[in-house]
Amino acid sequence: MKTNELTGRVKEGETGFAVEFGRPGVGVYFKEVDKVSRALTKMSVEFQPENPLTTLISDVKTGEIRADVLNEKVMSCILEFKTDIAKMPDILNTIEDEVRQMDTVVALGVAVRCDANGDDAVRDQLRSMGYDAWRAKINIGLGRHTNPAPAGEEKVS
Amino acid sequence: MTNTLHRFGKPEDLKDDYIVFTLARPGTNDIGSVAKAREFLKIALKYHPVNFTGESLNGPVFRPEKSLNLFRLYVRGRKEIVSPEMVMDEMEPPGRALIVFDNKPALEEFLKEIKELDAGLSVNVSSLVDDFKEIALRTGILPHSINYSLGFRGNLYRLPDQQVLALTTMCGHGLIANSFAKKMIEGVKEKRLTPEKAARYMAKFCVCGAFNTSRAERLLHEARIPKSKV
Repeated sequence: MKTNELTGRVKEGETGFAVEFGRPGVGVYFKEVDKVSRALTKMSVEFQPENPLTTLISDVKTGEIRADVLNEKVMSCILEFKTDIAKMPDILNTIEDEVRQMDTVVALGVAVRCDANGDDAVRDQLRSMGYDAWRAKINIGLGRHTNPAPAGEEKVS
Repeated sequence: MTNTLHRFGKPEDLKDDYIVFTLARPGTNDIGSVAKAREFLKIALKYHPVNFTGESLNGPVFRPEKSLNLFRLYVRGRKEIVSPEMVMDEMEPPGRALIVFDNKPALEEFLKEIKELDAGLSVNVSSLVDDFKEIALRTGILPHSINYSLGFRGNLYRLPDQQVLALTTMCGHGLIANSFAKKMIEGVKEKRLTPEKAARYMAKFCVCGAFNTSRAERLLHEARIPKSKV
């Protein structure tokens, strides 16, 4: 998200989610994360391939986390994925249902690409669902390709 | 990790907390990024940030003393802060920098200059959305992408009390322990520590420099006042 203007990781019409398990300061067992990741795969989410937690998911189609780490505890870990913006309410409800049964805490974040006027399609929806959404990390889009293009390649801006 | 996103507090309690950071993406805009991030920090100094850091192994302006011993402690006292110039000299690739302001006008003026600088590095602001939008109207700086904090969920009985949480969540990496924050609050309440000193002690544990010492001082000062007088 911090470099979304360069990576295009979350595009218009998509919503990125960051579910930070065990945070703040409580910690989480991977077996608890496993329950949420399995529930989410039923909703056709796309796990972020560069996220370290995704590398522990043995099958991204089922959301199953590697059996040998299920009883390991970490201070926090983040499940990152994206989906179509229309699915956001259902995804949030699924997360809420799963998290309610857990013996830890979760910090929830939702990322969205703004339109040309700097507006976004989710804040009002989040508020109507009862979320505060009063604080955010805002990328102001100043990043650009400045490294010289390798010989033989055209510079993409 | 979203180390600046999930700060605990109501909107009226987050009006003195504005974080700005810049970063390069390897292979895209990292060449010359250290000098650009250094320029970002130099501009920030004009607006008196309360915390200040660049990419290095040594941490922000608030940092522990590695050579502290009993003699130094009693003769010279503690030295909780190093100079911003030292932080800038220590910077290493990739170019990254982070600053914390405790007031909106400083953020606004800083963002105007950063927009003008146009260094090509990504810049993010972590703050109240409405405060940023108010600034955006005046400066023409529009958000490209927004990452909303939706707060904490799950078994909230496992969390510490609100005073502790407001302090510890200012270090998103969780490096300020709940028990330590509690100890600082008790120290301030018993007048064994000033809010300023306690805030600086805590800031030393936050190696990414996102801890807001000014807000921490205010929170600690408020913790000292009995609830009946609030």
